[in-house]
Amino acid sequence: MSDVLTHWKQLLVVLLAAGAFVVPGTSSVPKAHAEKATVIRFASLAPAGSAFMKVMQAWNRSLKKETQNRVELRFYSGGSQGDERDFIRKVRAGQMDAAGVTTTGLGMVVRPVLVLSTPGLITEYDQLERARTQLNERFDSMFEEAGFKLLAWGEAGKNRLFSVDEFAKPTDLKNRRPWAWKDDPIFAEFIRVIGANPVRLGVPEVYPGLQTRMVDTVPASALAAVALQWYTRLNYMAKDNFSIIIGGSIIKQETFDELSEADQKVLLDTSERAARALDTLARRDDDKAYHSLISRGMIEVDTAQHRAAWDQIATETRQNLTGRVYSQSLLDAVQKIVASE
Amino acid sequence: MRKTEAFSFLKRLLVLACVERAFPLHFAVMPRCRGLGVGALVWLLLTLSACDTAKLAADSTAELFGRAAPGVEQHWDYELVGKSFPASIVQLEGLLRIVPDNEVIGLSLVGAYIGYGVGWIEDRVEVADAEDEWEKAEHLRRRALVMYTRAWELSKHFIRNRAPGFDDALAGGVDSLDAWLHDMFTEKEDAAILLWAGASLGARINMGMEDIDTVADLPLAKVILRRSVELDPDFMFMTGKMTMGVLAASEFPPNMDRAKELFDEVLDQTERRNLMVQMNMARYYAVNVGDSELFRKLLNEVLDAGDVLPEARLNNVLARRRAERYLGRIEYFFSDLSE
Repeated sequence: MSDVLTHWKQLLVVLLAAGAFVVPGTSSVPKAHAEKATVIRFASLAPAGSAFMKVMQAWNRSLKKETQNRVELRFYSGGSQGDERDFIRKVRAGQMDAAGVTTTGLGMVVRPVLVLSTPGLITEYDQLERARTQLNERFDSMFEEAGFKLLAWGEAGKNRLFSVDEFAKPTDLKNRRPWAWKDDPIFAEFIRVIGANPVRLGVPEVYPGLQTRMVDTVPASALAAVALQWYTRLNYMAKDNFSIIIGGSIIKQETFDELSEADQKVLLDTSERAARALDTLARRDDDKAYHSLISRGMIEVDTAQHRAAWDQIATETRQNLTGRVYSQSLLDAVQKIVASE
Repeated sequence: MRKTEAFSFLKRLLVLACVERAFPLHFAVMPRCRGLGVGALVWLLLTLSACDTAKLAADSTAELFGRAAPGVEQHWDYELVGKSFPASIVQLEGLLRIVPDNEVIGLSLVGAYIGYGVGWIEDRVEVADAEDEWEKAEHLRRRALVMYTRAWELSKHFIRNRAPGFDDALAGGVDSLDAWLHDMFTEKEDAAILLWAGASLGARINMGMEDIDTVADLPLAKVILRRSVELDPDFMFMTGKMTMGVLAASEFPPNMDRAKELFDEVLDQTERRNLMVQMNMARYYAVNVGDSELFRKLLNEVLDAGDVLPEARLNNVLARRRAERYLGRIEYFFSDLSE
């Protein structure tokens, strides 16, 4: 049996690995049609071939069409340009022009933007939409001061708690080893308020950390839990989310300023349209990922019965971060927007 | 007696039995020419097998495929082989209808789907993407996805045939699957079926990334692939280990140190003759660490290599084809070539 098999299977041989499995790395980039097109180099963590990148490519087609090929995007997808920290560093150094980032990347450029992801403040998409619309001008000027132009807001799913062991109330996490990202002051404070010690690790160390139980609790969207394969080491997932992972497309201000006024407008318009399409995708995929996890044995935890305790922790966290990460006036503004229907 | 010899002997016996059944007169005229024992055995086989000449022919064809395969593997003409693939696939599908549990035919079909998909259809996807023909690229991606899905379903069927409990193990997640694979697949020869299964699932995920539920299968594909490599790391010029290198470099988040270790090991042990390794190391490792010099060096090595592995000539032709394309589009992989 194996003799025969060995022959035929070699036929296609190694080529299966030619592109086998996940294929980020390369970009599906349209070639320039115009000789002197301005090429905007755009980094994204989304893998090539994903729905996310398909929308980005559609954005590029619209941009090229509406600028008569004067401006085009060249995507560097997947992990080919490192993580979000590398994106920001490269844009600052002129090695990249623009990037699609989430809370992490945005917070590195404009720290107060993290107010939008503080626990218990914005938990529904419509709240986030209102906040970013009404505070857009305010944030826009912060990005400009930092040398960036915010092209459009985005999002990357509902942020919820996952754990190896069962939990329902904040005190259940006291003796756990919750992971907090190295540059994330928000969740680390949340954990401290609960009374636990956050284990500071980079994203790549989380999966091995879960394997060895160096960490046993993580904040993530269902989408991220699938994409990062963390779900294979986790058993419980909170039904309620404590925030929404924000995101956005940013470009170096200098690069943006080099475009004509008309092309700037097209770039902003097309990026906004793409961002809204991406929101739809992110919401759909996060929801789908949530249900996929349940079908794969993840146990939903209903934290609602202890809502008062969770709310108290969230309120204290927000207050502790005021003055350190964002101003009281910004927090008040967001709270006011969220409260208004 | 080896398993294959025994199988072959049994098949010949069955052929004889069928012939006897088709021409019953022979029994009448030759009763004394054969021993009573053989006659009884033939009759017993006849009765038990409810023999079907088409099935026998299909089974015999499976062996032919195996023996003929090197002719394709060692072929030099990419276009010619690519054009012949669809016919082979359809033929194998037809044969499988007749003998649905013939593993040789089944896994040949799995291999054909993956090989044609990755080597030809995905190749056209890359070209279409580069030429901004996104509708064409999308159509081709969907075609490849359907093929890989079929390959994965076939793989599951043949794994189930070999060992009970596969579906439960799969549903139980990575640890359950890993334990089951270690219990059920322990021989070097098992590496083949597992590599094809892992490859078909992996290729399916690659083309089906729009569906997050499909993406969630990635850890399962990795477990199957890893078991194959454990059982026979050298199988198919170390394709399994090379694919693990591709994965380490391209999954999210990537592990570049591990990727380098795997690629270096495969390069060393294959004496740099499997050019797919250099090509993949350039595309996934060199790109992701931002090393354009290494990228150029590896791809030029692929282009400059002669006929270094005749046993997998076609494979190396494919590597060369991609290497040329990637070198011509280097600016799409590196945002700053002055780095």
